[in-house]
Amino acid sequence: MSPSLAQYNRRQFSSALSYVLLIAGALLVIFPFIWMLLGSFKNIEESNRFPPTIWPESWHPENYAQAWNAPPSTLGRYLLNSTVIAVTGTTLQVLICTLAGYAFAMLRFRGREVLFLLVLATTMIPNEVTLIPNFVTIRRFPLLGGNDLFGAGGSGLYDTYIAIVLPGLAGAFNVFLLRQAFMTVPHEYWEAAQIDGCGSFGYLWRVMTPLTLPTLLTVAVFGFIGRWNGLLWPLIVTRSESLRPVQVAMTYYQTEFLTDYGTLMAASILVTLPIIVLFLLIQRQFISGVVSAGLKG
Amino acid sequence: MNKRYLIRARSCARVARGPLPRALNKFRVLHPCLPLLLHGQGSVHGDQASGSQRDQRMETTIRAAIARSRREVRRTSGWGGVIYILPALIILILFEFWPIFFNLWISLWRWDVGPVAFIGFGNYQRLFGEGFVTRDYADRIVVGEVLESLIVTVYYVLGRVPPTIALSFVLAYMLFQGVRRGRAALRLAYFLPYITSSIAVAMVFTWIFNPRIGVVNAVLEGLGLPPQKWLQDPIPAAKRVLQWFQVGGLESWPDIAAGPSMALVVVIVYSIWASLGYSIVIYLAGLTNIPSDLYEAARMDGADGWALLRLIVWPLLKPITLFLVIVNTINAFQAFDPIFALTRNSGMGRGEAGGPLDTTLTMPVFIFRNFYERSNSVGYAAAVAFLLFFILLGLTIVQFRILGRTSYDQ
Repeated sequence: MSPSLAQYNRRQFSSALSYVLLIAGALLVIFPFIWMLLGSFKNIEESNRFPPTIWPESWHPENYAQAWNAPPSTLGRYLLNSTVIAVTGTTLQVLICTLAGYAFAMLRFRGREVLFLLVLATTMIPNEVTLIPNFVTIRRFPLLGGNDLFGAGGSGLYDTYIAIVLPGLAGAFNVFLLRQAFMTVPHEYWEAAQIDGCGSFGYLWRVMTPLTLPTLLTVAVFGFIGRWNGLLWPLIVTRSESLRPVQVAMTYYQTEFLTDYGTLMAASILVTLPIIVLFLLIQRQFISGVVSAGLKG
Repeated sequence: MNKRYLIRARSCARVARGPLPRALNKFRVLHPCLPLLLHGQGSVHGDQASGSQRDQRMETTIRAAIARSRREVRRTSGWGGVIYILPALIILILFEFWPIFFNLWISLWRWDVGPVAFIGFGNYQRLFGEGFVTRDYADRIVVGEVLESLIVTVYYVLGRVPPTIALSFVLAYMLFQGVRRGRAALRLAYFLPYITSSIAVAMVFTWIFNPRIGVVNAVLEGLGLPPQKWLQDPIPAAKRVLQWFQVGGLESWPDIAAGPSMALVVVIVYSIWASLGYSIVIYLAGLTNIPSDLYEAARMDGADGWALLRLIVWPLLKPITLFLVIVNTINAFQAFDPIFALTRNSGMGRGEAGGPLDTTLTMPVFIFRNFYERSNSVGYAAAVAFLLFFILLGLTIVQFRILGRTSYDQ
């Protein structure tokens, strides 16, 4: 056998081995999702059997109805709350970060470098440090929610949508990402836009945003998923069930359906499905967005 | 390539960079990821790129540089641009910068719903005093709660980060080298946990690892191994494993010194599962950026797969590895959701996250517990948060030093 053929065979073998290992690994990674889906159709007796059955013996789609109607408020309500939080929060965030990114990329003004440094520096501040003071800030927000000028008397912004959404609206990393994206737009566009009588805001709105749509989309999807999956902050700053998002509700379900894994899994599926659908719709774009966010910025 | 062309390009780039990168250079000392953000894949390309590729890249660089230098001088309109950044700036100052000082202020108080009493450094005395070394019911000297939490955090980080890096590198390399068809589908499968990981998805892990009915115990039984109590087991995993094989050695060790508890191991497994996809995708992008003629050249020289991996792929991916180590370490130090989701109902204690017997009580969960679930200890929680802040800051600087030693622009 010639050496090149041996090499070829070896490569074929290693490729086959790669396939086997990768598929086995992928099945292991996907397994919790499969278990979740199959489990969501098992009744309480079957889900508590040992050794467990893989394929449900009898199918119980009523688990989904039960999960939907779970106390203290229906799952629909929590899904609605999460949607409101994620949509408004993401929209405002994209807006605020676009404006800032544009200014840092294109406009020249006093103190720009210092301010940009300031913005970048916030990426180093861990959540744990801002958690407690931000809670107090929300609670003692002056002149709102029955508070006086010094933040005493009422509950400030505590237990409002604003409290959930407000602190995360800026996102230094998004500003950075958008600035980088805006800087890649060729200058000729600006010259052409000027001839057409475009001001700097019109240029941003009419020319820049369509050209940097992939980055804007990445920022938006990141923001949406982060808010949909977020738990700690909404848990802390809310009390009413009419405001709390699904992930907080899941913590009640864990207690409510302690051993009724079928219903618990049905709830998990209902909560996770929107994200999976969203991700599958734009996965190629999203993954390249993650890469550019991680590597190039 | 024409040399004058090159010189012109460099000067253009210098003009285009203007004053901003000077300021950024100062900042690089502080921020670990910035060199990577700024130079990014340039290090992967290095100077090994082929002639035509290099020409092309140079051309784009020049174009971008010229465009930027023109843009830079376009506007000198005083404070005009500030209006654009004002919303972002107000939020960042109010909810990112101000909290650092406010946190310090709160940590000087005994604080419940509001301030109760100013106690100066009382919280810090408690933190570094009984928080580090204390006496138990039998008057023996034992590890205090803060130190214990710190050790648990370190176990968690060390248990999570190196396996994530190693696994993602191997998987990404196999995806890149061995797979032609189906790469996108496989990548999708590995990436799915990263975007869906949340309380909702963590629930299924409490079922899979349930000591009574969990599928993992069913598999163990099938293999003839003893079933485990997983999330309800505060005993160090190392002790449990030694028990299986009936070897002695660790019995006399205190539990906190013998490694992560069984419960923490499950949390680590979940965290690796949830964060693996991100690192794979980043590695895969890095691998795709290595010019293919490099492989060909090495193959011509008779390099086999292993040599290729060791001499070309690994060194070229080093900056990416360091980036991933930093990002994963910082994320692991700050992780809250996985622990909260998996350990809240672990069946012991009061149904608080961090159990059983506080063996999964990492620092973020410790802060949350004192802040949210205990009375009168908000100030104490703020003091611990400050400690975590400085640990992360120190870690970041140390990692940057290591990072700084490896060259980016070769």
